[in-house]
Amino acid sequence: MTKTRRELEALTEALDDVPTSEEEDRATTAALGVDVAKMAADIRSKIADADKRERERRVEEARRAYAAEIERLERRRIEAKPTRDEQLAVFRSLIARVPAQAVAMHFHKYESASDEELAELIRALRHLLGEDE
Amino acid sequence: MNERPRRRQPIRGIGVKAANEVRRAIGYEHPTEMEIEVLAYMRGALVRSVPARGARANLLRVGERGVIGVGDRLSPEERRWAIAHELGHFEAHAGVSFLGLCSSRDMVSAYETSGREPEANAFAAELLMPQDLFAKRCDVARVTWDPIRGLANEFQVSVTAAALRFVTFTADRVALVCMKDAVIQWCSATRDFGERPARGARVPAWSEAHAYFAGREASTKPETVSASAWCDDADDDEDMCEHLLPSPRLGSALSLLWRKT
Repeated sequence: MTKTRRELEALTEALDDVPTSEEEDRATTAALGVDVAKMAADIRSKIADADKRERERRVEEARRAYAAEIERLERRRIEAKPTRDEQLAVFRSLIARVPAQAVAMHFHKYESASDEELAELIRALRHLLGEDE
Repeated sequence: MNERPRRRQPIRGIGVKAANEVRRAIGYEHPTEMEIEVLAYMRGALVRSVPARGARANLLRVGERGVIGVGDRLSPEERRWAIAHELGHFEAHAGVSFLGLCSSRDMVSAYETSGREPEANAFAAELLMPQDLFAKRCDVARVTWDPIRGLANEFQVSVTAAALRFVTFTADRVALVCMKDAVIQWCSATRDFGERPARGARVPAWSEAHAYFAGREASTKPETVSASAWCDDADDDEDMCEHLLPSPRLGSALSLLWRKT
């Protein structure tokens, strides 16, 4: 049998999915000088570091996207001095464009919202609806 | 019929579960690792400052996206809480629409009677002060404002928010009493505290708080007072610790009560 053939057979045997006992595993790793606990700790640490880097990358990306979107929203102008009734009409017409269950508003004391607050709600709603300026 | 809608009982677990889901999805360890505005943005809610007269904050949601408007005069801690509260509505009450009623009195009624406010507050508390990080810090040698201030600083919340959370997790017998103009506004206490000071009652005589509201010199250090001053169920010879935190600007004060036995 050639050396290559023997090596191939040894490799096949090694890859064969033969169950081994825990004792055999310990003996093998000890013979190879592998500190399993340390190796596991190293792997966990590397995974944690990679997760952290990935999270930091996502957060940084979100930070930039957030700043850009805020800028877009704040650029959206507020129409000059509409009456309260006009504002309410605009608000209701915007709301009517979306299915009722797709929209929700949590606004305390809505009835006492000032004209300025209402104007800001309209601006936010237009932004969410992607309405062009 | 104009019958007032029945109040749905709040299920605080809904808020807690939603907060844990947010933390798991983003994967952070400590809630101060990133700005809350960025955290909200990563969940689909855009936070912006708005002029707000009555409300501290509001939420407008369309589909999967929302805008949280937060009052521009809030302190940084109040702002964090307000954003977390609205994010709680965004996360936990996504399927709820109040808009069909938004221009009428009913909208306010339905909103206030829905029982969802405590769920949004439970969300905010868990998001900003996660139980696994916060609870273990509530085992303190002496119940005073000092460790609570430390918690407030670490978690970037108000002292009141940290104190309420502290009461949730401490193993000591503790009550937090909020007073304004010498009248008890609310009280939060541990289950084993005993009889709580009643809401609407006058601040009891022989308490540090009473001295403060009477315009006398009140101690802002932890003081031993008779437990019977605050609790009707206390024995005459039982003492408790009262630590007063006055807010002269608001005409209010918080008393932290600790029954040592």
